[in-house]
Amino acid sequence: MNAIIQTRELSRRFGRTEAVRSLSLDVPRGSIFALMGPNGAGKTTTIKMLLNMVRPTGGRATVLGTESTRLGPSEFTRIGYVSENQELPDWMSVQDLIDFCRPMYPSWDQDLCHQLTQQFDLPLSQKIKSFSRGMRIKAALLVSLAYRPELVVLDEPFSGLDALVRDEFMRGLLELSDRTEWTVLVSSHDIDEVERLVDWVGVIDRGSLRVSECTASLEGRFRSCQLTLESGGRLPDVLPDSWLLPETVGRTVRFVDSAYKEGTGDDFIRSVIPEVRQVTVSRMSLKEIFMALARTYRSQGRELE
Amino acid sequence: MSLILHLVRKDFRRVSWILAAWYPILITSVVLDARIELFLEGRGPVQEVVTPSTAEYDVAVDLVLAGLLVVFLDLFMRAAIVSKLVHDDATVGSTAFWLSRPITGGTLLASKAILLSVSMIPAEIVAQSAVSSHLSGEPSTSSEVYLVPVISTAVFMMLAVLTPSLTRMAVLGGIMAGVTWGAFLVLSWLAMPLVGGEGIAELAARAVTQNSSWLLLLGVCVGVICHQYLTRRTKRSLVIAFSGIPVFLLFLAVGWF
Repeated sequence: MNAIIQTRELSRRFGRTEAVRSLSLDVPRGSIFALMGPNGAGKTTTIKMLLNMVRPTGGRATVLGTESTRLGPSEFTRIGYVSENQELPDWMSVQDLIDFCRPMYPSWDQDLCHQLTQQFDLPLSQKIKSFSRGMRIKAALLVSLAYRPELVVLDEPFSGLDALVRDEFMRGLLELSDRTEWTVLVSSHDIDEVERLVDWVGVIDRGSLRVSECTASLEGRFRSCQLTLESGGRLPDVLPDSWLLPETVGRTVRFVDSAYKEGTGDDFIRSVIPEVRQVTVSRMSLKEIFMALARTYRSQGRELE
Repeated sequence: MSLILHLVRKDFRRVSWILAAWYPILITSVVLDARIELFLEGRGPVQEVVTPSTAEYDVAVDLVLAGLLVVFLDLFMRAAIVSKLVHDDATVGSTAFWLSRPITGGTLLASKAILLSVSMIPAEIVAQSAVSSHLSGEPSTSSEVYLVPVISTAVFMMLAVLTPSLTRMAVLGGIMAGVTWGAFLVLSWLAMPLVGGEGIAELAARAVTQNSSWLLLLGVCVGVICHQYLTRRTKRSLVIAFSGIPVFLLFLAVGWF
């Protein structure tokens, strides 16, 4: 895999709290990668370590082929970063912000900047401090995309945005993705926010990476299964590890199969539970998969690959 | 270099209004300071109005009070200017805008240092020199005229680079001043029997005139500022800053003997 971001055993402690624990992650070049996880999972700390804003306490990371702790101006001209927590020079107007950023980037594309300004409906003369949260994020995005970065890192960019602004934002990104060769790393705690956007997902929980996989592969192997048992039929004491969140109501058994194989999946289920009258298997959306994983990690702390 | 100048221009736009408000305060402060000094020495233009039991005596007292007020205002404005300049591109924390931009800590430090060197330090030196030569009739040759602006600016900048806001900067400044003053009292109390029976006030007065100690203080401030901008390791910078206090005091004490 040609990875634009690579981490190996990356760790960060804050006092006694281990915010990120031995994280090994590869973000493929050209992908739109969602780093998912509940609040406090370690997504923001990971991103900050990748961009040398926070120093790792263990392990290493490379971004654009450079050690993250050695990232310098030449790498930052190729990286665009937008975060919900990022400070912007509030006293500037959007035009001031553009004028401030433009000379720093040799690849600044004034036409794209103009186009983004119109697309995001940003008033050039208005001061940033008077902006709503959504407008601030748009302004940050404008000056992070106008130089056509190779790598765009978005840390919870949709958090707190209303549905309309989120949709505009998303459409803007998708339109740009069609025209631009870039890699996007986007972190979010809500899969709904990024489901339309991403083609690769990493799930981080309590500082550890649990899953890192392309969305097609995830959607291919996760199935929601519902079985109806014969009368007198019962579940075996030990179920396969890949069966998540099993629950029984009367003669109905429900679980999520995280290693379903098209064609042989049903036969495998029948081989585990012979007293099955009916098997209903349905595909799962990314949201359902993410929810199933989150519930599994929360309730059992079980590790999945 | 063009990036440094670009940052200087940006920062100048940011602080120009506050600089414009500070210059008159600086001039007033320097003038009042000089007149009060002359008054305390009992000579010069103020002497005539300080004849006891006249209404003009009240005017002289008002002058001293106004002087104090302006000194505090001057200090506040200096702190505010340095705070605006430094905290807008904070070196503490991980949310500053410059951290994700093609700007190195060294470039940022150079731009801030240039702006402070051009806008604050010369203004004070010029004001001090002008007032001093006007009142005494000849240009001042005292190193104090040059040292005080440089050191005060360096101290404010050191406090600013170690904190994320003006309030925290004031708190840290208070803590450092308190620790230094407390340690100074202990040190001078211990030294009193050994330095010919001089009191704390005399020792403090002697300390103020020891340029080498102030140069050391300047060195510590510059060291902390550079370390923080180049590494952003705030805890370590704080350790360096606080380690400078005993070294500074020991340097002072050596000068007493």
